[in-house]
Amino acid sequence: MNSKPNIPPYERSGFRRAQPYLYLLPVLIGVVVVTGGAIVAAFLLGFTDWDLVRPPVWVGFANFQAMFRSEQFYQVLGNTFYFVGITAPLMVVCSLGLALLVNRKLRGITFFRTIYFFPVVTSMIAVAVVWGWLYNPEFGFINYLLREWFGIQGPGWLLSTSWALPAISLMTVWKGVGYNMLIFLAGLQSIPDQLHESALIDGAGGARRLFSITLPMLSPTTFFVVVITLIGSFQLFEQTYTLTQGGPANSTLTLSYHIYQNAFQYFRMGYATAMAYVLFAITLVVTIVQFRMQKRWVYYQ
Amino acid sequence: MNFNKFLFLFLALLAIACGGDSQQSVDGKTTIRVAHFWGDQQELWKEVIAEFEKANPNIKVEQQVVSFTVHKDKVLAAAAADVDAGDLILLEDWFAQELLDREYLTDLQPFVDRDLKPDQIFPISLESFRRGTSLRAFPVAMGSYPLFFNKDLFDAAGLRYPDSTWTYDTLLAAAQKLTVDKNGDGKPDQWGFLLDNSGGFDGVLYSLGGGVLTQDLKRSAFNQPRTLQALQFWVDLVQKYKVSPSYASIRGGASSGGSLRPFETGRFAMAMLGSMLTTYKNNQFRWDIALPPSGPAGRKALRFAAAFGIPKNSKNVDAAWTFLRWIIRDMPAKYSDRLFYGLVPNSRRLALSPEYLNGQPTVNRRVVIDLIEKYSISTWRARWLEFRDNGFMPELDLMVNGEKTVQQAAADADRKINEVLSR
Repeated sequence: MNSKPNIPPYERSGFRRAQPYLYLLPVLIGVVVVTGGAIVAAFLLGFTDWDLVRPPVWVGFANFQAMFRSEQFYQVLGNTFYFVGITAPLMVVCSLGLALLVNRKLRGITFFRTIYFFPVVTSMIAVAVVWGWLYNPEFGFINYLLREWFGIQGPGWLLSTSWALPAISLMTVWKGVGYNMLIFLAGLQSIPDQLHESALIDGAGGARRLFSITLPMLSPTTFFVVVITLIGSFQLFEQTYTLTQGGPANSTLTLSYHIYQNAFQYFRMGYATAMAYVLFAITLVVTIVQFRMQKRWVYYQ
Repeated sequence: MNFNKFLFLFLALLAIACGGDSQQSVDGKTTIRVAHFWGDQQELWKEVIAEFEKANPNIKVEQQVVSFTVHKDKVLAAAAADVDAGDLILLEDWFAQELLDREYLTDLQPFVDRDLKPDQIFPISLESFRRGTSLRAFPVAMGSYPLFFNKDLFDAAGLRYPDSTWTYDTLLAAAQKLTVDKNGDGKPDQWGFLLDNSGGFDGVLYSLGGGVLTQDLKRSAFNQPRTLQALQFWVDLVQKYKVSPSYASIRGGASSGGSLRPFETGRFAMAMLGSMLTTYKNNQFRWDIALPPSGPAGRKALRFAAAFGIPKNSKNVDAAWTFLRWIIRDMPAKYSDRLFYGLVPNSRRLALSPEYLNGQPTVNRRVVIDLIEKYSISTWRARWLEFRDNGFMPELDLMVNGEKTVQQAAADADRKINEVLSR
């Protein structure tokens, strides 16, 4: 008896065997060439002096040495951490607050959820133009309110070295809060109702339920939101690009924008890619730290 | 079909689809691609191209228009991939300087020698595009920084308009009379003079005897006493005489909270601005331009240009030059007014034509021609953007806003500029 199964010749052909791989080929090409290739190329370019026009020249660690010796790099790094430090907590707290607000069974609540989500889908250019007007020191609505309601002369906002970055942070929170709100909302709605009901029967008030049930049960969602918010904040680019171009006096110059400047304005692609890897390393370390720390405060059911 | 045969066929088809020879000939015509970023002039360029194609039936011209940022990135990406980004690429001065130094562009000097006489163009315009004996880009139009003034505000104050006898003392005296606090809140509602850190600043600095760079353009000139005096003059305009606003009121644009074009608000009596005159056509007041004042070092203003370059790897260098030459030598003068945003065409025939001189907005365009020919300077060199952005502009921000003294700001600018230039 022949032990081989009776497979038709077509099934045994090379084409048939290769078929699954062929289906995967477009994606594999994309991942390997476009993503993987760029990651590897960028890493290697960090060790070269490349102006985009002439061939790259291998310079070893020179770009990293120049970066760590550069006064400006530390200013930019400081700006980046400052931005992350004020934006991320504000974003998480505001989006959680909004999610709690719209997580109610009220008539027309979908309308409010939509309204809060609007900025997320609005073009950054449009947002930047509108906020630019709002921040206008003389004619802007914000300073008008401060002047008319509180009798305070508002600052120059985007034109002030002290206020420009907080102003961009505020706009970033306004623009992104709807997205995180939606994630929190999904998290809130997945908390079983019986937990709240039991707590109610036991006489727990709103605050107690918030801190003893909602926030702990929401902690995996909060963890996710914190991680993506921090990563997003480190990558701040569009806002500075459209609003301040790093000014005034480099006070809003952050790592991503500085990388862009060096790569595409100053013809220092090697230096820029080296800096991009430093940004990557910082983001990675911060993310790893968060993953390590999650054991202390994140509760999975 | 076995797997190897199939893979071979697939890869062969892929190679054909991706490769493809660059199409130079359509119906026996040579097609050239003009890559530029003047999107709002696209229709006008279409008319110009139609005229050109009528006169040159063997050449077809295609426009490739994107925003400036995309244009720049596209050219860089093409350079990195060793392909051409177009047969003719429009270049701003600072960007051209970078490509010039990297020898990405064709030497146009032999073409200029063959086809153009020096009196047909403004030879001074070519200076900053030369490297040794070669000419790597050809400016089609140029501009400078004249003194813009608001006639309505001058008339209301009963003052004479600025003229070629003006010095910076005259300007200051006029600016003081033209700065007005209308509502008595202690803040001027109308300013005498506007100076920001764009190219207008360079002219003031050099006229007053200072400079951004030394004459050989190799080092910073911010350590020179005359530069410090010139910077002090600027700070005094803002802080002592209060005839010019601080950045908080003027900078930025819609994007950063100020007015994008402060002079257009009608609240500034004078301003040192770039001469892209048609961009001021919507001014709701009467205005004109004059020569900037002269200072201890004479009258000086930065010159800039809109130039075209032909990448070395373009396969249509001759046809591209033919188009460029036609613009200079043969293009009907009716386009000269608007095609370059009111900049002076680098063709005497066009620049001195009634169509250009009387174009809209109607201002004294001869002023810019004079300024370019007699008083203009060029400080363009590679790393221009970097030594400004990272070198002295942030320092000037802090200086004018009173966050640093002139001495501190100049010393820091000096160090930073030299750091960039020494690399």
